[in-house]
Amino acid sequence: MDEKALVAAAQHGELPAFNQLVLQYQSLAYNVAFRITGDADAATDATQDAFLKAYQALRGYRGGSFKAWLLRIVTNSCYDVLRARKRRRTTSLDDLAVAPEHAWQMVSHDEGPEEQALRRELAQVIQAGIAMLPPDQRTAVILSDIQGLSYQDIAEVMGCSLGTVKSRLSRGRARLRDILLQQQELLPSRYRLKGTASK
Amino acid sequence: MFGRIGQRREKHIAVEHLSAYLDGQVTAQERLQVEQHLAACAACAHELETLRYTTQLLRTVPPVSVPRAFTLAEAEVGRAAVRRQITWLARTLQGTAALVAALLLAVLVGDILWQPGRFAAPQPMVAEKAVQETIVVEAAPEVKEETAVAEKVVEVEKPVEVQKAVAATVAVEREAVVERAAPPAPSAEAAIAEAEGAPAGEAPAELPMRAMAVTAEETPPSLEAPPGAGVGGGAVEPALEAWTAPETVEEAAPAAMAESVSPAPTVAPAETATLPAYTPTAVPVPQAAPPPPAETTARPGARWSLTRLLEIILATLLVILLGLTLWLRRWR
Repeated sequence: MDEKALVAAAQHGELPAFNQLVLQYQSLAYNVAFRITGDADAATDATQDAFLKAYQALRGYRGGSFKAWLLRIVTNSCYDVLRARKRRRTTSLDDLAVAPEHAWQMVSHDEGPEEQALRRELAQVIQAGIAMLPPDQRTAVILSDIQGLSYQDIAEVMGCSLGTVKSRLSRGRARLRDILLQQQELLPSRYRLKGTASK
Repeated sequence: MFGRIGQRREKHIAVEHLSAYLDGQVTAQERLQVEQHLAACAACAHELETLRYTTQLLRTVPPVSVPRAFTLAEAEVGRAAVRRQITWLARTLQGTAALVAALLLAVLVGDILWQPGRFAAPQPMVAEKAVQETIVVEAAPEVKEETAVAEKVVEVEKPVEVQKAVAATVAVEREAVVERAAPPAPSAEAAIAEAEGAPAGEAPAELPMRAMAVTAEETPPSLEAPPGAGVGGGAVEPALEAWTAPETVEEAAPAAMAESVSPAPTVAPAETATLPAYTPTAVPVPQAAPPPPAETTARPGARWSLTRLLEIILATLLVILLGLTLWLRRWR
């Protein structure tokens, strides 16, 4: 059954059809949530909430990219979780600079242990830099440069124009570049920018 | 596309365009312009290089594995639906509570602003005092009537001096009472005339009927007179009772019966001539003060009581709504 048929069946209240869509998109949704929140537990909560909301709001889906529609709900759920956590003062964006060790379980098993350790180290530094971006720039950078979404899809997810996507993405990249260049010594040597000394 | 970087004079490509150029999100003309500029400008070339480095680093970030399946169960969906309904109910209650609070505030403010006499200047005191001095003796029974009706006590054996003292204090505060004391003079005269013609023993028995007749024609309905309240007692008291309002007429008969055994003197009709202190003062007053409209004293009380009732209802409703909202929030 293709995606359209699954969506149509789910719109008529068929939960198994919706669960198939969940299985298809849960990795993408969780990864986006994990990068936005920077925390495994928060990402789990946000993803679960997002799928529940998506099922309840499915009747309002009027076509277009289902992936973009779903990711919009996921990003909104991430903001809700972050706001709730900030209210409870259990965590904040500053606390998310370094994620817990158990969260960094990579999918790829092709690399050796040394390579995995290097990439984990790099990913921690990058995640710390992403956490320092404002939410709109962070989402744009994650969707574009980590998840590889097109500008059009990002505009749908964020509910803004292409021009706004360009602007948010460029500002996010420039800001993250400044952060990473300032923390060159924290990066593994093979990932440092050649010819630039740490400022 | 081109902008200044820092304080340098030469124009450079804006970061937004360099970023879009990296992603291939520029037109063919823009691409040409960027490439021509990059060939001549080391700063912009370095800017582009660092941006490219950043995006390449981001692409090295590996995906993380999903901790568990996020498929939904029927029970979970049902719970979520209930939670959503509760949320909707809580929001509705919150909105209703806000509406009731606003309504209560409006009623309270309206009550304060429209309460007659609260912010109004007091009535002219000089005229009031002058009237009070001239009719203080006459006002005594009248004011006593008001207090007696209010307290539901039939004062039969009260000494005249005490009644005067009460009247003097209350008369200052209640202008309406003083004004109402004025009109009964003609009726009092008529009643006296009738009382003179009748034997002393018969007067109490006939009084209720007379009182009803006289008050229906001449006196305002708010006038009330407890029985046996006369200054001179005897035949003067029946005359004053002629002002009695219909409600108090029923009380007049037993009170008048009690009068015969009370220590207050039951004077014969002939003795009324020996009471100049009361009769002359009763005559000039009717022209001094016209009878006030009954609405001025009756309506505000009714309106206030309705307002109070409304305030109590709204406050109770507000407390209930707030309690329900808090309970739902905790439960949620």
